[in-house]
Formats: sequence, C-alpha cells, structure tokens
Amino acid sequence: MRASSSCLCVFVVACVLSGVVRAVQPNRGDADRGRQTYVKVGCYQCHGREAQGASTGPRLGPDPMPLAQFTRYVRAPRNEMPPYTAKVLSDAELADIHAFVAARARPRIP
Amino acid sequence: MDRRHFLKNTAGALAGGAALGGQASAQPPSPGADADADAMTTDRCGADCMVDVIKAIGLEYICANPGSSFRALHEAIVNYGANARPELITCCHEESSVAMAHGFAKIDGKPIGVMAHGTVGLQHAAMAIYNAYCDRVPVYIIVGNTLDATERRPGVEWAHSVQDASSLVRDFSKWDDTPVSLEHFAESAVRAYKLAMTPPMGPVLLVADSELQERPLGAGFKLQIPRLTLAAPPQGDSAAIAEVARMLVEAENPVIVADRAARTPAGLASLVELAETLQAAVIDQGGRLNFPSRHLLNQSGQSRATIGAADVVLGLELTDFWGTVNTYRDQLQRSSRSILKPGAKTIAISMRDLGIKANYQEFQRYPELDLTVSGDAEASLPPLVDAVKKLVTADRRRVFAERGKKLGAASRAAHDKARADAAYAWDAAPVTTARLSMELWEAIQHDDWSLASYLNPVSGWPMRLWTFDKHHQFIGGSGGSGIGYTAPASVGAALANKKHGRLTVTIQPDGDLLYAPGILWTAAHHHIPLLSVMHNNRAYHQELMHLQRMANRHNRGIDRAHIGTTIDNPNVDYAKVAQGMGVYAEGPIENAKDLAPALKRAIAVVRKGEPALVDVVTQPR
Repeated sequence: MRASSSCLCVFVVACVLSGVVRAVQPNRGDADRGRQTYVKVGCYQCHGREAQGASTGPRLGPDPMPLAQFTRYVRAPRNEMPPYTAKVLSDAELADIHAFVAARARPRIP
Repeated sequence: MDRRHFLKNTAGALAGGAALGGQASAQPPSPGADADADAMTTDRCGADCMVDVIKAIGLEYICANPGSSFRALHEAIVNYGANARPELITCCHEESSVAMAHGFAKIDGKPIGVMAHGTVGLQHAAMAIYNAYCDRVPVYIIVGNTLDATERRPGVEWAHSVQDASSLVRDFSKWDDTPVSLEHFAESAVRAYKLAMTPPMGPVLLVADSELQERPLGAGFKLQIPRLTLAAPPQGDSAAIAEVARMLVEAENPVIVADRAARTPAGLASLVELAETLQAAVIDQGGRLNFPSRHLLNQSGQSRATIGAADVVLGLELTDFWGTVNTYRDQLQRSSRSILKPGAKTIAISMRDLGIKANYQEFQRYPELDLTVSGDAEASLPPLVDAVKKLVTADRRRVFAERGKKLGAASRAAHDKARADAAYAWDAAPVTTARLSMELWEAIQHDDWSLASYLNPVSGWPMRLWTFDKHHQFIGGSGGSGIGYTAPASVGAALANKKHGRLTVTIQPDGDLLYAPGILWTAAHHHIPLLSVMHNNRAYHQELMHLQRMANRHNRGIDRAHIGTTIDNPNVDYAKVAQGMGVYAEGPIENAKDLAPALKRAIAVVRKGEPALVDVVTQPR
C-alpha cells in the first residue's frame, strides 16, 4: 500500500510539473484561447460575440455558473441549446470558453 | 370578320410571310383590308368601368409591376382615372406589390390594390399572399388573364394565360372570382372588398379578363355598381361572454394573452380597459400592438412564468393557443409538456375556427380548451368589459388592487432588468442589437413614430426598451414567416403613415432585403419617407442556428454550418445598393459610436419626405 501511495504521489507531482493537472482541473482556462474557441464552435450565434446574451441564448458572463455546472449543461443542455459532446468540444476547450465569458467586462449604464 | 378571325388570319399571314422570307411583315397595312375586323379603337373601354368600380370601393393605391394581361386596366387607371385614388405604385416584383399592400393595411386598416399577371405575376406574388392570409390582413388583388384561347395573341400571351388563375392561391386566399361580364366584375369586386374586410380578414382575388378590359363599351352603356356595405364584425355569443366574465372575475390569477386581437386603436383601448378593470396580467404576443409595452399590467417579458401561475388563461385571437400553454423541445429528445398548473382553465375568443382551410397547416396544434367563443376578439371586448364590470364587487376590487400592485412591481423590475441587460457589450463591434435599438429609440422617441419591422431578429429589444402605446407604433410580423416581407411591408406601412406625417422606421434584416431590393427604388421613386436601419448580421441567422443544431445533434461540430447560411465573402454594401436605387444611405457602420450621428442625418432626410437607409453591421441576434 505504501508503495502504491508513493507512486500516486509521484504521479501527482509529475502531473503538476507536466501541466496535466491543467487538463483535469480545467477552471484555469485561457480567456484569449477561449475567445477563439467561442467563435469557432458557434457560441456567439446564440449568446452574442461578447457573451452578452440574446433572445436565442442567455448572457453567459461576466459571472458564469461554476465550471462543473457549465460543463454539465453544455454536454446535456435543457431547452433549445444544441448539445456539445466531448467529441466536438473538449473539456479543456470548455474551460477556455468559461475563462473567456468570465473575463467579459461589466457594463456601464447607457 | 370578327376580331377573333382577324387575329387568327393576321397571325397566319405573318407566319407565312416569315416562311417566305419575312416580306409579309414588312408590307404596310392596306387600308380597308381590316374592314370586317372588330373595332378596338374607342373612347371608352371595359377597363374604364373597372376603374369606376375600383374608385367606388375606395382603393387608394394600386401596386403593380406592369404586365400585358392588364394593360388596358393599367392604361385606364393612369388616363381615365387620372392616376388618383387609385394611384399607380410601380413595384419591381409582385411579391413586393402584395407585401406593400400588406404593410399598408396593417397601418390603415383597409386594403389597397395589387395588379399582376394571372400566371407569372401571381406566381411571384404567391408567397406574399400566403403571408397576408396567415396574418389575417386584407389585400385586394386583380390579375389579368385571357381566358378565350381564340383571343390570345400568339406567343407569350399563351404562356401568360391560364384556365383558372385563382387556383394557384385558392388554398390561402379568402375568396376569388373570375367575372365574365362587367356587371359580374362590379358585383364581385364589391363582394370581394366586403369579404376581405370581414373578420377573419384576408386576401381576395379577382380575375380581370383582358377581353373585358379592352372591349369597347356600347353606346350608352352604364355600369351599375352595387353599394358597398361592410359587415359588422361578429361578437361572441352573449351567454358565452357572460361565462367568460364570471370566470375572469372569480379567478385569483387571470392572465390575458393577445396576438392578433387589436385590429384598430379601439381594440387596444378595450383590452386596456378589460385588464385595468380586472387588474389582470396581459401578455402581448405581438401579432399587433394589443397592449402598451410599458403598462404596469404588461407581463410579456415573463410570459411563461405568468402563464404558469395562472388559474384562468384567456386567449384573444391567438395563432397558437397550444404553443402558448405548452413547451416544446426539439433537442436531445423531442418532448412537450403543459406549463399550466393543475386545474387552470383556458378560454379562447377567436375567429380561428371560422374560414379555416385544410391544405396549408398554419392552424397549429389542436388546443384543449375549457371554453371556446367564436367571435372577433376586438368586437367581443366591449361586451366582455361590460359583463366584467357588472360582476365586480367591492371585495373583488380590493383583491384586484393587490394583484395589480404585485404585477406593477414585476413590470418595473422587468424593465429595469431589460435596461441593465442592454448595457452589456455596449461598445461591442459588431454593434449589439440592444445598442442599435436604444440608439434608434433616442433618435425617434420625440416624433410620432411607427415601427414597421418585427422584433424576433433583434431579440425583441424595442418592445423591452421603448414605450409603445399607440396602435400604429407596431404592426407585428409577416404571418407566414415567408422571408422577403419586411422591406416591402415597411414601405407599404410608410406609405400609409405618410398622410399622417408619421416617421416610419424599420429594422431591416439583411437577408430579407436581398429577396427583392428593388423596393428601395419604389420608395425613392414615389417619395415614401421610411428610415431603414439595417440589421446586417451577414447571415440567414435563423437557418444558421438550425444547421448548428443539426450538426451538433449529429455529433459533427459546426465548422461547416456557415455553408449556405451566411451572406459574406463578399459582404453586401447595402448603402451602395440603396444609393444605386436613389435612396440616401450611409454605412456600413461597425463602430457603435458612429450610429447616433448617422441616424440623425438619415432622419433629417426622412423628415423631408424621402427614404433613407443606414447600414449597421450587427451581432447575430
């Protein structure tokens, strides 16, 4: 058991050093990359280019739902949103999108 | 020799001449050779009588792309009729002609005319007729045809002749006839107008045979034109109306939903009176302006929640009652469920079941209702208001007042939320539809304005942000969702608003304008003041979203959803298109800060009585 624990510990350290943790804890997504993905996979078609929302989809940022909930919803949405499986949008890409919508500016009142 | 034989023999001679080297056609006509032909030269022809009929029923304009099958009627309108009431409006496509008449009627409350070929013109017009039919709007269409085969000129006229012209659109028009005499034309013309104007209103069609149009009138011929008497619109059964009143007064949470209920300003006023008497929530589905947008009882922004809390739902001229009280999901699975709470009662006052036709299925799912009243909603509202007032006690009035306070608070909160939502991405490029709507509102709000476009393409922002309180300020959508409606219907609405000095504006979707952009020339040619603000998202965006849905459902990603759905590469320069048609235009505007000054300059042009266009590159919705 001790050997196994040691192996696990090494694995975790290795993962941290190699950046794998970034993939399994994707809430450290990259907002700039997220913008590109947001456009590429068509989120803007319903939610607007700044995630500001429209009649076709709600505002997503700057205060998005937590990433885990965000991911669950995108994989199996309610209402009219098209589902995005991992085949067409990875968890890492979703994390980037989450980072992008979280980074949207708060509005000034017109 | 009668005209029929003359035409046949002439045609034969020309054909023979051509075979012999074309000499026959080069010969000058020999005086006297046509002595036994029908005399077609005359001071008065059948078409003059048709103009008398058109004047008698009061068609103010005739929209038409010219066509030989109605050449005599066209000529009679501009000469015998002096091109006044009706005035000829030159259109570049028959679909534009009908949609113009559609938009005009929604402002003016009565039809104008359309002329078209009975074949190729009517085929072009068909989609716009379908829109008017679905939207319950009167449009008066006259089509030319030559029924008698022996009277047709050789060649094209045969391709432009048909046995039963109206059959093409009979499934989606209210009534039609093919008169065989001028007396018949007069009687059917008056009947057609009456039927078009009797709820449920709709497009009607008359065939004006070319022989009837062109034949000289006999000496002393005088046409008897029947008197036009419009029918009073049908009210709902009085006992049923009393029952509706009882259910509404006894309800704890009644909700009134209206779609095509207010045909006139009186309908809007009646609905306000009913809602205020009951202090009931109102949801305006936007087929017409049924209820003021900023009225504190207006709960349109939270329709699902409001209906879900109702114990009585009254639907007034709903297009889709089933869809109003059910959700339908077309996604991972197809499913539907009622949003009504258990025991909630549903009532319809509508003309929906009258005049219904089978083939085109615009009548929607069958709704299970607790009470159905066949009657025109606008006509049925005054007796309903009276019946409600008789039943309201002091106790109920106190309950109503409390209910009204809560609804007022919800309405204020919804408006505050709308303003806050609109502020997101305020300076974004492309311009957000919220910013576009707010800038336009800032520019027009102090005028007597009228918005001629529908709201879906711009996420409904104007209804959430502007103050609509006059019936002419909003005319709903196309009815049948046939694209290509907005541009010509807006020009028609602007034509109707012109005599009132109103500022007509339209938020013009790009794909819609590309169907028949020649309508811009019509607006310029006839000096029709209209401000078109392009919602230029460079896509058929509704269809793009459908492609996205299909691609994701089939697990393929959306990388190729733009194929066949976007309008770019090259981008259309709508300002140049409009300028080429003689319309003042600016754009494309990509920086939101440039929008307000451009609108100001364009509105100055419109106030002088001319059309103007501002091209704005926008977010998808």
